[in-house]
Amino acid sequence: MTITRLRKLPMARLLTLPGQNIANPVAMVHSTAMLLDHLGAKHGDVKLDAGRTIACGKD
Amino acid sequence: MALRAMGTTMPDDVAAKARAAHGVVVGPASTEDYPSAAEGGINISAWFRSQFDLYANIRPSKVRPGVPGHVPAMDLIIVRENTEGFYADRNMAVGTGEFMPTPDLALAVGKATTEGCRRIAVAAFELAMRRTRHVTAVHKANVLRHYSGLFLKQVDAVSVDYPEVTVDKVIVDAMAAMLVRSPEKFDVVVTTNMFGDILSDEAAELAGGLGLAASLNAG
Repeated sequence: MTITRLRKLPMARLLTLPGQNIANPVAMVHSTAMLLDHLGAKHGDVKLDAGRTIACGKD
Repeated sequence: MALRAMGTTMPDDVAAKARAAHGVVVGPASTEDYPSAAEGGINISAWFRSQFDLYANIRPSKVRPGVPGHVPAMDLIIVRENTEGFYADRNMAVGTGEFMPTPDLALAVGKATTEGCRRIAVAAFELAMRRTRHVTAVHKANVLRHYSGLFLKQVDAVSVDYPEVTVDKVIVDAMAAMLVRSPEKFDVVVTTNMFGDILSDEAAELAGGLGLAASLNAG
């Protein structure tokens, strides 16, 4: 599934992806948030608090 | 696509860019469908873990409102040692940790080092200090007395530096059941490579599925 196609999906639809043989992007989005948090903590860079923002938006 | 175009799942230019980056986001890959490494089918996750010594695999599992899970409540993080254990593709400096002396005999080596166990324990306790200060160490020391025993010894040694953190020890088979029965009792779970691999997939499925399961490999 391309990113373009994902953007057209309403949020509720994303929760119905399991079992349809369609890539679920939530894990990768959350993983990216974890990476940004980790790098922010490691380098003391507050700009990388973006990770927390992504996680909050996803919740 | 890279395999078809360049004969390898890890082209040199991608590897060079990864080495120059602070972090890399890796999408899901069907490594079971890959040919052998000799034919270009390099396991990307394993490659990153071993090349960059990403010893800590941090895998949170959380039940979220509106997402159908198999348990009512769960908010835990599994801290899995990532470079040792029974993983034949990464636990040896030279050669593989799995071999067959005869066609009817297969052997696999499980590796645990003092430093490997110490640093994953430190990662778990540091994480616990930012959460509820509760670490559960999962092991199989009743059978693997030396392998799991070394791991538990390092958990005990590291715990001395974190007196605020409560430590439980649970045998892996009991842990598999307790994750289903009462996942809300756990917060930070630290364990060796294969146990962590299996338990984190179990926890992810209980929380809603692998498609929702985030993961960080850190070193």
